[in-house]
Amino acid sequence: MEILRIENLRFAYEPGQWILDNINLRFRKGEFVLLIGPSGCGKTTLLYCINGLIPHRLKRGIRKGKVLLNINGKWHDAASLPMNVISQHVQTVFQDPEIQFFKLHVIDELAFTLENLGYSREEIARRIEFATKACGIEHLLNKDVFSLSGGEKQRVAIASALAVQPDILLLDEPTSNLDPVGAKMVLETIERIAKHGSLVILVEHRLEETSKHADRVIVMHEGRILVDAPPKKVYGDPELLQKLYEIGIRPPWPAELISRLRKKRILPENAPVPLTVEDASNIIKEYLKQGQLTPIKIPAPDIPSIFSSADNNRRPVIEIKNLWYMYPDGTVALRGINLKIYEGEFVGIIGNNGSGKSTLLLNILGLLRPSYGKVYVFGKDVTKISVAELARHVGLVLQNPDLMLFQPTVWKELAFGPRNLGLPKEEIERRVKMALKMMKIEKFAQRDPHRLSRGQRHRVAVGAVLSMIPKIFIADEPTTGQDYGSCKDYLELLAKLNKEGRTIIVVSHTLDIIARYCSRVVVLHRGRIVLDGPPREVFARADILERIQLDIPYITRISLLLRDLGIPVALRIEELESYLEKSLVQR
Amino acid sequence: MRLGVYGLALTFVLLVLIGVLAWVADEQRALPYEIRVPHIPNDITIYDGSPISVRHIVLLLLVGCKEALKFQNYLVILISWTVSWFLLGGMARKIRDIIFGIIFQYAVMILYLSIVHVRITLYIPESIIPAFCAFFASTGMFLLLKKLRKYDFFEVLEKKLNIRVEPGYKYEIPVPFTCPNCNAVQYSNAQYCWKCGTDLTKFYNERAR
Ligand SMILES: [Zn+2]
Repeated sequence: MEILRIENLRFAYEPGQWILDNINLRFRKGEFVLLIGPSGCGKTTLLYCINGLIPHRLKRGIRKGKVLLNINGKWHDAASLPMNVISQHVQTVFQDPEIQFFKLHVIDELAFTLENLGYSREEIARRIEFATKACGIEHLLNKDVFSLSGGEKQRVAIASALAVQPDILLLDEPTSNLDPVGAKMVLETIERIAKHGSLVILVEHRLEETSKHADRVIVMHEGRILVDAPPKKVYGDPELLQKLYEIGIRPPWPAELISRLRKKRILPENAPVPLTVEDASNIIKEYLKQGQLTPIKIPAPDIPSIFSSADNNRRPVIEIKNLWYMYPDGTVALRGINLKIYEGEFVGIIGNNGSGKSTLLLNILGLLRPSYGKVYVFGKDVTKISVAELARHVGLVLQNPDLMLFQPTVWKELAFGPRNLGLPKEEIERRVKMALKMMKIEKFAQRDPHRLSRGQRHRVAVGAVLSMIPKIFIADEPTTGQDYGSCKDYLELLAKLNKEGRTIIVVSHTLDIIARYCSRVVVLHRGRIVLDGPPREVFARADILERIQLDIPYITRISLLLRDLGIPVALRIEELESYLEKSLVQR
Repeated sequence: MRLGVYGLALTFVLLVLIGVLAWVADEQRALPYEIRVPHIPNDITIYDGSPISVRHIVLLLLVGCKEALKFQNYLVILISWTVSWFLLGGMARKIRDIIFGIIFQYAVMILYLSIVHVRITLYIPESIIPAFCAFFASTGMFLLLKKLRKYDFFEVLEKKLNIRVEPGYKYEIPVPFTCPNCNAVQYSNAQYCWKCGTDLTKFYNERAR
């Protein structure tokens, strides 16, 4: 049964600048739809048109066309229905769970919306039971909302939307503010509710975990629908794939791997499209079983030289000696860290929220004082040198670029650091020009950084650090809020800086990035270092990583599943592709 | 932060104690001592009105006189203590900050008094003595706390917070070292060897012994 029709929908904040441009879509009850597209493509605006926020709450702007909801067999335009009627049929879960809560206890929160909609006590109890079971949050019912973790909060938000038993459930990047554990929780919940009868429209960047549930994948670009097809078609059809690459969207890794193997004719043209890592490894194994391919063992790549023999003459750039840190509330965030980082290393620090990653960074930057132990940067105790002096050596780029931009023009922003170092005018100019060129932002030099797009603002923030020419460059969560394309550009730049001899430290949740670029991975868990070594060896220790609930990069996971065929552990897709090419092509 | 909280708690308790005692006695208590030093008056009048010495301000701040027990005055005294110790003491890293804290507290009081039109007279050196006393007392407290805190970190963890600390994590582990099982080089005290996966906690504990 059709439940939602969007006809010739257009929307603009300013006349002529259509954010949604002639959208035509039809949805059936019970469908699970994955809505994807690069940032700023109009996904969220489309959701707002469906849930009535446009035009009922966000009154500014021009809306044309129709959003028709099927209510008891009759079609109504969302613009002419009152909000309280729409909310009985359409429920939305936003990025940030906090803003959606009104009550202190989970059970009250769940009952709140239902009470407002005027249901009887018995009905409310019945629906709460249904929703909590569906989302698997029975154990949270009597807890205080604000004592929950991010993932738990988002699950409560989903349950409270589901309790309304809406015809349409909209999920707007529900995992983007969560750490891997929280995201996993929410993705599990999404999996449970996927086939619960509502039409679910999910906006999400994590295609690997969500594509397998989807009946349809809709790709938006510049306010238009670019592709609307089942996931296996979107990720399998070479033409559609080409369209995705063009707008900077990468298909899920398993699908990309198989598509590359097909292109190289290692696998036949009609090989199925995998949506999970298990599917991908099974497809390869299936062809082996059919006798079309024979595996040969190939040697694993060498271990990086710094890990094969200790060189005590090298001077560390960062040296941490038995570092403990306790917050004033008694939370012990770091428990005895001993660590040396050397010049020219590209170190990835990973761990779940609460593992101590950010506390470690703040201690290295001298912004927190160790409760016990010492931190030395270039041989100097960080608590004994000023933040300004440290900034000469250590550059930090934060997750949110807006925290770092406060000058009226991009040029001044980039000149601010060198000027504070008291450098002569010519030197400042030289450095600014260099940073502008490196970040490809020359044409914005005289513009207000706050008026640029998020990706551009991020580049300005990086440029402002680069103009200081720091010897150590620290990037905190470089991937959040960026699409794959700009994220890749940024890391390529860091890799380039690393090649020039600078030390790079990256803290990230996105393990694929760590696996791809880092020469060393430090895994933190509950304030201690659990593993520290070359990424290939660290990510191969699935048993230890699983115990601390940390994921393994998708490509590495596929290679681990193929290990019994003699395939070495792989970190990058190109690497796995070449291993497979070498070991499977012979008949 | 800790210093600020201690300072605040201590002065708060003292102030409330003195306040309650004086209140119960229902009468102004005469000071048990009088500091006798030569007067060299220096007028730093901000507003015209009846004169008041800096010593008097100190007395006010220590709730040592009748006026201090007027509700409004008492409130301002509490605020001036709270503001200066909680905000400044909380950030205090250096002795410089403490001096600034004391000056700031006096300034708050003087500002208040000048707003209620009291003429302020500064007597030297008599007025300086209490300030010096306060400075030495707080510096002493600061240094003492700093020393205590460092000494007892693991004891605090184990006794107060009930966090068991393995001996291997109480002492520095010099890196790099090689894994006792497979000889792989370790650049940190990671729990597991990256190459063979051996749990190294036992090795750290033995090393600590
Ligand atoms: Zn080992």
